[in-house]
This record gives sequence, structure tokens and C-alpha cells, in this order.
Amino acid sequence: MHIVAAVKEAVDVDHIKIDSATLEPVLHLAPLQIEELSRNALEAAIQLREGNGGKVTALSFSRETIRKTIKEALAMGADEGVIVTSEMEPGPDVTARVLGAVLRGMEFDLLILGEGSADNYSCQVGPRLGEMLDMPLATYVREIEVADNGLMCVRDMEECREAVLLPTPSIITVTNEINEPRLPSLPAILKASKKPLREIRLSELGIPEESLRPTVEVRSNKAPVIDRKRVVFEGELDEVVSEMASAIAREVAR
Amino acid sequence: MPVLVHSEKEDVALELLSKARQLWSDDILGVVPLHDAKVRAGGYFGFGADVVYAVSPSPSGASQCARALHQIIEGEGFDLVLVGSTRPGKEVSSRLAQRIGCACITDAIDLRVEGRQVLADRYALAGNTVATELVLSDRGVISILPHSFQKVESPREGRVVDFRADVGEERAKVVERREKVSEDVMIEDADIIVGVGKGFARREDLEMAFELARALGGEVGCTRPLAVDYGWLSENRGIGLSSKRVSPKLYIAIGVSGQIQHTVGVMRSKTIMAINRDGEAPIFAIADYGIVGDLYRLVPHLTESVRKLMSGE
Repeated sequence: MHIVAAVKEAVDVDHIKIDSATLEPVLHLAPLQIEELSRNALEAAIQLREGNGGKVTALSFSRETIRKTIKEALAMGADEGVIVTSEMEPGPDVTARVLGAVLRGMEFDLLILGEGSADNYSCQVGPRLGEMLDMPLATYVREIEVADNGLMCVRDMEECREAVLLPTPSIITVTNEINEPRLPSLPAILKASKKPLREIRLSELGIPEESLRPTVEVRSNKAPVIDRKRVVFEGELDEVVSEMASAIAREVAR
Repeated sequence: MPVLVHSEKEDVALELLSKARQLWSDDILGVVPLHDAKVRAGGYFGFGADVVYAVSPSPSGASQCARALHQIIEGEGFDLVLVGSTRPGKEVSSRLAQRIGCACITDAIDLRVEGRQVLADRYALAGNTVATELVLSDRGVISILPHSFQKVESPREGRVVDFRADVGEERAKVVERREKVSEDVMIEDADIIVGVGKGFARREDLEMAFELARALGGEVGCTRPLAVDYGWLSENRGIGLSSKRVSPKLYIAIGVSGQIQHTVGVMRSKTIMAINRDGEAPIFAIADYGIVGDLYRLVPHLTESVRKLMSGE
């Protein structure tokens, strides 16, 4: 089974600093990594290969920094990397367009993506690829098992769990409950540099310019103003409890 | 501009209709329910719909639903589609935008119009920021989180249109559907919410939080991991970016570290209080009142004090 895991390079969302004057995020200081849900997708792909044989390709469309970051995916256990590089900041529509162009030229049985990405969480790329490649799709999957005639997936929806039988080739998006992504061992990290890595320049894909034009413009992106009292009661247990209890009673009475 | 509304949840469809009617008072508003379109049509007309589409055959799954919506848009000339941002709703939105070849903005929390331009606010960077995004394409699909807008009645003399759609075949076959065990609780309606997080070591210990909530006539909510990973509480008590957003009079966070994914769900609370053993925990940065200390020692005392105060002792 050839499994492609689409992975995204993103800033670590737990280490984003906000400029207190402009309220804008200071992104150049946050470390870049393969974001959390992509690692769930990759882990799911690796586990399927470990159970059933085959090959895992980590596929990414990113800035040139991905040349280094993709090593995280190879160290985790992907057999090869395919990266498309460009300095544009694509939205989910353009990302899907570019990944779709690469996937059209690839033979694969299963494409796995995160349900969304930890940084932007638009949840669009998987479903857009389903339409673009005209492939069966199961979103929000938290369990995958190989069945006789395809893959048995459990989808986690708001009000129910749905068991879905998915033929292959097909596409799955996974939730972060599906697994605990492994931390690569030191030997695996050292070996990652020797694994095959193919770099494709965006221009090589022959995508018409108008298909790469964004359909959404980000006007502004700012942290909300937080205006809270930030009073911390200090003192003996009885004291602080009674102060908080009074504050609670005041709020309830309002 | 003619606007089409869709949600598998009637309440959410009514919220979206209300907002659309406020933004586009004179334009045609259509709505595509998934079930009972004819029976429920009167309700949709009451909140501003001009046309209720009864689609047959009834779409099952996001792929079929996106196809049906696409055919309605093409056939009836809608420019903007507003969808309830549930998990199925987000999949429908993305598929539909891909079919149309247009912009899609998911998980919006607000919607505005400038001339003919449509803008939406959504959380970005895991809730650290709010981004304002503008639709550049001629058409657009925007999915909007439930409870973003108030329902406002604005009755119209609407009509029901029978729409025959070619929904195609669903290739991902649903073999079993199991409803989640969910408690009969609507935390989003509660005036006072006691929020619990990973500071609680065992499921049984949550009883402390329930006692405090009962003393205050409130409800207990939780961070997402407590519901989804640990299964300690049902998922309809989960609060945060990918769970519920609440806006109570008082939110008391106990053993909640305050990760942004959770706190975006409580930002609209009038007052926030926090109890956490780590004085550096980010929850204190968004709290009005806090105590740094051991919740196991503090909470029982606090419940006792609150009981006394509330009973006028």
C-alpha cells in the first residue's frame, strides 16, 4: 500500500508572541515545525505501513524552510519526502490546487491529512482534494482498520460516531485523538538525511496562474484586546476563600 | 445579493437567516434544510426566508449535499452561501467552494458587508488572533459557528420549491451510526459555569466542581481533553475552539491551565475567575479574580463559603 501523508509546516501555536503595541502576532520568532495534526496524519500512515507493508510518502507545499523541516517527517518514519517550494503564503484553496497537481502524477492508495491544521484550522484541504481528484473521502476519522474490501474508518462527529467503509484509492482526514505521534529516536533523526527527498518547483507543475490567485484576502490579523481585572487574592486559605466567595456572591447578585 | 443558507441544524439555519436578513434586507434569501423542508417551512419564513428548497432525493452525506447545493446555486442564481460550521457543515462548505471554484471561509464568528464586499472574522493561529478575511471571488461560501448570531424574527411570505437534484453516489458507505451518550445539558444557556481541566487527577474528584456549581445554580463545563480524550464528561460539556463557546455571567475555571484553544470559548464571559496551583498559568492573564493554590484544598471551602453567603448566613 502506498500511503501519502500531506504535512504542513507551521509555527508552533503554543509559542506565539503578540506585539503589545500593534496586537499583531510576531511570527518570525516562533519556531517552525511539522504542525500537530499533520503529525497525527503521518503517524496514522506509518502505523498502517507497519501493519500491512508498503511505503509512506510525506508530501508538503511550503516555503523553502521545509527542506529542513521535512526531516522531522522522515525521522518519524516516512520513507521519502516530496516537497513543492514557493515563497507565497497560500490559503487552503491554493494549497489544495498545488497538492492536487502533484497527486495527479502519483500512484497512491491512500492520502491522509489532518482534519485541519493547528495554525489555521480551515479544514478545507482534504474535502477540496476529494472533489478535485474525484475520490472517496472520510473526514474527522479517529480509527482506521484495514478491511477485506477497503478501510474501515470511525468518524467522530459532534453527535455520533460513524463507521464508514472506504474503498481505495481514497482520502482520509484524521482528528488528533487518532494516535499519539511518535518522537523520533536519535538514530532515526540521523538516518533521515539519507532518505530520498524530491523537490519540485511550483513552476514545474504547470498550474495556470489564475488558479494560484488567492480567493480570500486577509485584511487584518490581531489578538483580541483582553481587558480583565487580574486580581489575585493572596493570604491564608480562609482569607482568600472568603474573598473569592464574596466576589462570586457579588457577581451572582448582579 | 441573493443569499442561500444551509445547515443540518434548524436552529443554526435560523441564526444565519436572521443575520442575512439584517445585512441584506431587500435581497432574496433561500434556505436548504436537510430534512422536513416542507413541514418546517413556516419557521424559516418567520426568520426571513423567501424560498425553502425541498431537495429530492434527500442528500445523505457531505458529497451529495454539496452537489445539491451547487445545482441550486447554478439554477437559481445565488452569489453567497452561508453554512452552519459544524463538522458536516465545514465539509459541505469546502466541497461546495471547490465545485464552484470560489472562496471559502470556515468557522467564521462574524459577518460584515462593505458595499458589495463580504468580510468575515474567524479565529486564526489556534485562537491567538482574530483574522478579518475578505471574499475576493464573485461567489463565496462562508461557514459560521453556531450561536454566533441572535435569532430575530422577520416574517416573509415565502414559497416552497421542490428541487430535483442529481446527488450522485456516495462512495464512502456508512455501515453503522452510534449516537454519543450525551447528558441532557445545555451549558451555553447557563448563567454560571464552573469549568474543569486537567488539574483534577481523577474523574471522581469532579464531584467537587459539581457541588460548587449546584450551590451557585450553575453548570459544569470542561476543557476538550476531559471530554474527548478521557471521556470523563460528555462532549456537550466541552468548551473551546473546537467545542462550544459560552458567554455566562460568571465563569469559574478550576484546574484549567488556560490554553488558548480553551479560553477562546470563554472570552465572552462577563466575569472570569480562576483557581490554579501554577501562578504562571495563562488562565490568570484572562481572569478578573484568581487564587493560586491547591484546588483540592480550596474548592470544598469555597463551596461551603458560597453556600453560607447565598443562604444569607
